[in-house]
Amino acid sequence: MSGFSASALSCGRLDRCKGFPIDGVTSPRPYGAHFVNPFTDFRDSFGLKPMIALHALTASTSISEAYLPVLVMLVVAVGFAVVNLILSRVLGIRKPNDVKLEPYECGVPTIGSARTQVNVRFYLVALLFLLFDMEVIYIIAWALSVRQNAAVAGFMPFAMILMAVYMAILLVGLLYEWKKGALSWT
Amino acid sequence: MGADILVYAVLYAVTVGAALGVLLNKDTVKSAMCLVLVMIALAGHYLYLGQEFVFAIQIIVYAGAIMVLFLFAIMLLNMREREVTPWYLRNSRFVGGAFALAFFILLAVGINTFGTIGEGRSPAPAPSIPELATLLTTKYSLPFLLTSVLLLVAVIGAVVMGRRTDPETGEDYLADEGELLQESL
Amino acid sequence: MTLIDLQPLFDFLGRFTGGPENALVIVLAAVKIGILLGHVLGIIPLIIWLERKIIAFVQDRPGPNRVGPFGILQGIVDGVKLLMKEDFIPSGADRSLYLLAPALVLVPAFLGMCIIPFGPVIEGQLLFDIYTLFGLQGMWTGQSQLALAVTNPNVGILYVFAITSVAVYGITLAGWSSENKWSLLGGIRASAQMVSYEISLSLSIIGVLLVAGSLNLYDIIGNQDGGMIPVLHWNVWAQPVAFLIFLVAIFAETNRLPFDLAEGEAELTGGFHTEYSSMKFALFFLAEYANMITASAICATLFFGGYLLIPQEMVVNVLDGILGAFAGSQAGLPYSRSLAEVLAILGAPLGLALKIFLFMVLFIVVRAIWPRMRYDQVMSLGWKVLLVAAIANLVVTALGMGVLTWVGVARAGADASPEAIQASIDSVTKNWKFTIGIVTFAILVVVDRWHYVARRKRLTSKYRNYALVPATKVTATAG
Repeated sequence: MSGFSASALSCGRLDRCKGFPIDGVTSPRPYGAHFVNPFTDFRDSFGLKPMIALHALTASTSISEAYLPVLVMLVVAVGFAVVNLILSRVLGIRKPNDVKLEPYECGVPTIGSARTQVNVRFYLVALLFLLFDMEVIYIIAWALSVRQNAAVAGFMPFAMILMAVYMAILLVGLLYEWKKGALSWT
Repeated sequence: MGADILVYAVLYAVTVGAALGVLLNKDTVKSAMCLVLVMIALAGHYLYLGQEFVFAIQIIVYAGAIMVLFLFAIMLLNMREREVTPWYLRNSRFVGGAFALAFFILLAVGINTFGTIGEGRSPAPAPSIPELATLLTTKYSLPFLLTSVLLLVAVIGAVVMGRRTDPETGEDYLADEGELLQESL
Repeated sequence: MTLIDLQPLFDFLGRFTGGPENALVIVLAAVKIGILLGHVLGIIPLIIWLERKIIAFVQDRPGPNRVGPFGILQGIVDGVKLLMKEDFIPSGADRSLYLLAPALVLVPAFLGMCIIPFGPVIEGQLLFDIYTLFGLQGMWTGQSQLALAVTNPNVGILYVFAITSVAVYGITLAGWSSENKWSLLGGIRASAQMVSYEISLSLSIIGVLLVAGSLNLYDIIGNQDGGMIPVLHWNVWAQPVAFLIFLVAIFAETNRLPFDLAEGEAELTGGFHTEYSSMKFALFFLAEYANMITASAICATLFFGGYLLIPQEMVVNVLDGILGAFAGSQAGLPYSRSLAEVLAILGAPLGLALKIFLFMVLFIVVRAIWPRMRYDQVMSLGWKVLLVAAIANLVVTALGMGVLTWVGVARAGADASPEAIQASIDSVTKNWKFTIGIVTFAILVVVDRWHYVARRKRLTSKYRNYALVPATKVTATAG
């Protein structure tokens, strides 16, 4: 699988990229690989020059190879559900009456509609879930890149500091929620 | 190529059909379920374009988290029958139609001017997932950090929205459903 | 040697599917799905029987014992009974959503099963031989792979996350559409609980991701292979805390006791499926057990080496020795080592099946002996204990990986090539990842003891004047 465009992302790992070591600047590290800190070298950090490329760990599965089976499974699952629902429609007896079709509330006559407003806490939980879900995805990306570029000199300290700052900001949010009682149910 | 066009046609039919379902359903819960289908179909479009990572994120974040939030909001406000229609929603059909028409004209002019999609500009082959991840932590590390600030602000916003402070005792309490409904209108 | 020439068939099918390769993928997928569903749907009645037997044993009663020997056919008979039951729709229910909900629960459960890697990837000469057997040599390329999983997407774990995040809707809609207060409460409780535990679940998996370095499940299994005893490379030694968090979270995700607040028959008379009867109810039931099997399989894959139990080469060598000796004793019997390889591959799923079985027994025993938690306890366990523990585990793991990487770079020497450095890092992280496990587990134990002592102090000082609560009886519970 080749990279983004013709120029970028086609030359193996970070250290095998065309820009490494950066034109004319010999790497201070003895083993060739040199990581460019995006905060100190703005020329590279803001897209003026492609700097990244990697190799996947395994031979990657093509889209059709990976997702056609999922499509087949989707058809099977929907078919299974529909066939079962129809079967029970056909095979089961049907003797409905008014009392049977009432909502079951342990024999007590129903008062009002069941569709009342639910507690605002559930909404808050969904909101916090959304935010944490986003964080999780960013952390996944970070974890992948850390393992992928471990051999590139200078990358590891940079990535660690990046995550430390990221985590610190997130923990401030978590602490705020905790102190405000948003995580408590009662 | 025949199968390709078939997949594309089915994807578009599902997307457009579900989008129409969102608009035409009177029941808000059914509308929301149609919107889930739109999100999943959009994920299918990403997959069709070879962007596997974006496909997964689209389902996790949009079809999963955001739509759960929508569903809870609908259940929270119980918007089955609209009691009060605010002024900006009274003629929504015509306003929305006008916007849709304007957007369509914009798209048509844009495509006409800048050439058709897919003709000589087929989507770039997707970077592999580790490639994307590394881009995020190196080239785009500043946006990466800014995202966390954005999420922090959102967390604070969520908490502020859900909690109220009693003006007399100074204690925090959870906002009432009715209170929220009042404020939202 | 060609057994049967299938090339014309795939050429024909390829006309409708955009190429014979796609046709091959679809047919293989159908075969694999058939095998998988056949096993899963066949084993579920037995599991239900086992569950009832174990619970009966714990409660000192006989349990099902009428249908078949030891009542083993009870599950099948129950299924037939449910099929014949009256299928009614409550008058107040929203018909379309009410009928959609069981399908919306079942479909994610089935889609989740797709990702289970139940056997190794077949490639190279062996795969070429298999292709040749079916006359498909023309479709074999050097990169051809046949994974013994329905699908093997590059996004791996993210696929699992995607499925679990969509699985919420079925239960919520079942509760909402039934027009029953119990159902609504059960449905909304279940969805809030599932989304809460999904965060801890994802964060605990990221710990494994950091150790294994790939999203792909086969990469993660491969990372746990090696040596004469693969058990030593299992991720559970490197990520014990993540495993505990994951375990609690899958109990909550599958709505099993002690987290079955969605059903909670003592308070909600059945929760989200109160108004469901006949096959619609059976689909909910089926989906719950399918989810349990998937969760067990993912847990085994992430933490217990997946299908790996005995080194694959050892199995092949033993089989080769036995079969070769047998073939040698019978004159004229054709034999090649490929047969031993194929048999070893076909035997690999047994390792996974054993692990899944043990997890299912765990699910059942926990259900038998554990009381249901209160809802506020469930939520505070998710948000205040598991989330914090998962973040702490992640931080410690990241630091540990940093240290191991540094050691790997140092051991490679100053003038090594990047490839040599990468290899050195890989070997160090693989052989020493258990140190991270020791550190995280030690921290967990210390924090837990400290929390216990502090809580006990607080409670004993609070209840000093009552003398009703002896200090020894105060236990540290969640929340």
